[in-house]
Amino acid sequence: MFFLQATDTTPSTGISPLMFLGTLGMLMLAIGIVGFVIYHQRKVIRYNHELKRLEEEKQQILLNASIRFQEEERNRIAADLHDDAGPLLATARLYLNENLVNQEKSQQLQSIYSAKQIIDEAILLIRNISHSLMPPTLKNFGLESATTDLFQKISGSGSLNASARFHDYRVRLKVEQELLVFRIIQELVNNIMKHSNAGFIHLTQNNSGNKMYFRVHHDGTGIVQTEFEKLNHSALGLGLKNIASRIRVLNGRIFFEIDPSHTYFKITLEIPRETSL
Amino acid sequence: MGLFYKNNKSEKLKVFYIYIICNSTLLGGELLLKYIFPLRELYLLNVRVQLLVELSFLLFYFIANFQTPSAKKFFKIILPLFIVITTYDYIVTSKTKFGADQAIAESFFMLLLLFYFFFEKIKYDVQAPLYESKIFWIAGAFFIFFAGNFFLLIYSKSMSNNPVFKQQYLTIYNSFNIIKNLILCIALYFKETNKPISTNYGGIDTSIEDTFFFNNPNS
Repeated sequence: MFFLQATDTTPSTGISPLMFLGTLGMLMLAIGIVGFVIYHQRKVIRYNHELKRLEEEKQQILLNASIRFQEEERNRIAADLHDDAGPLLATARLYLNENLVNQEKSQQLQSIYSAKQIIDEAILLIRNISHSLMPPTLKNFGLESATTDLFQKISGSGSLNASARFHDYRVRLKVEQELLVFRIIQELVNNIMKHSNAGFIHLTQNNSGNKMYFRVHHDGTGIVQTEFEKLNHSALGLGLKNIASRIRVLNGRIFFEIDPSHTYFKITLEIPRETSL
Repeated sequence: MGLFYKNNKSEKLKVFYIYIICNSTLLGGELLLKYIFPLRELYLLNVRVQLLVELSFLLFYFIANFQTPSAKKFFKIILPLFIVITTYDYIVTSKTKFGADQAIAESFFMLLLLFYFFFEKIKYDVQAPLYESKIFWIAGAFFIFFAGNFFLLIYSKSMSNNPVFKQQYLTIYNSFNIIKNLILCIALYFKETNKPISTNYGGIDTSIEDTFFFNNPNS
């Protein structure tokens, strides 16, 4: 195209200023577009960096919350052991002190019986502490049984109507996954019971592709996704932060929403299926 | 170009190297047919082939960098369309006159392609600054070149007999050619990097109906 000039040299009218304006305009337009692309992209990159920074901040909050939660849990166990199991065993020891041999037989039997009762109580207490750490139903029979058991206990208390239905749980998840899901469900149910004033809670489970879904319905006062995100970024809502950190471990997702009819709230939990087989 | 090739050996850039080799060869042919063996008909045919080769290579180079499959398919139509225009223009235009329509069509298609290229860059490429990539400078060079010459080519159809226009045509065309080549030289300093494609930050599939949880054929 460098050599496109015509050979015919018949002079004619002068050059149209429109051509120069057009060329100049096109050049300005091209430079403008390129400039805009650079400007816009820089803006987006800056925004992404900001988003990344916020995400890191959120991670830090979650980590702190998780550490705090762990400490609280340890304190609770320590308090249970110190305040309940400790005095019980100390009392049992008093009954079985050295003077026991010097006592009368009836008194000895009474002391041994009392000590036995106290030791039984201590055993029960320790079992309860242990169960709160790892529910035996979950360990032995799986998530379905543990969840159904939990919901039956809630329903049995008479405070609200709770039910759980597992549609397709023929193959169990990995034990650690089951525990995490159970804790999330427990936390959700606790929150609903504490804050929502709900009349019913219903949990359903199903599979789709390589994903497992859990959905909790309740008719109380709930939260939607934006509120969940907001609480997650704030210093409040330790329980929700625990849910978020557990979901992160599971590589799952959670979605809080209100039904279009505004009659009940839905919480959907999506987790990848990693079976124990 | 040797230095350029030594530092940058990505698959996509090979198209660009082949384009440079083909273009240089055809340019050599143009010089030969213009000044050494003046055969106007053959010279003009050579120009037409050069335009066709230029558009084909640039088209494939930029299409290879597109991320949307539908856009790739759409822009591939340009080549057969351009071949049709070239053939038609060659048949209807006098063999001793340059067919400006073909050059206008090339500029138009290239501007369209590059406009979409920048649009896609805005949409998807948000990982690293765009001006650090080779393709951005190559695209920028051709965008300025084709945009600058677009009006010139439109006018060249009606004013090719004007010697003043011819002079100004050469000045403007050469200026944009120099700018293009300078920007292409800048591209030499940047290393080709494979950046990840944008991530989908979509939430959970909320389209799952409640019935999914209540009706299961397996249960």
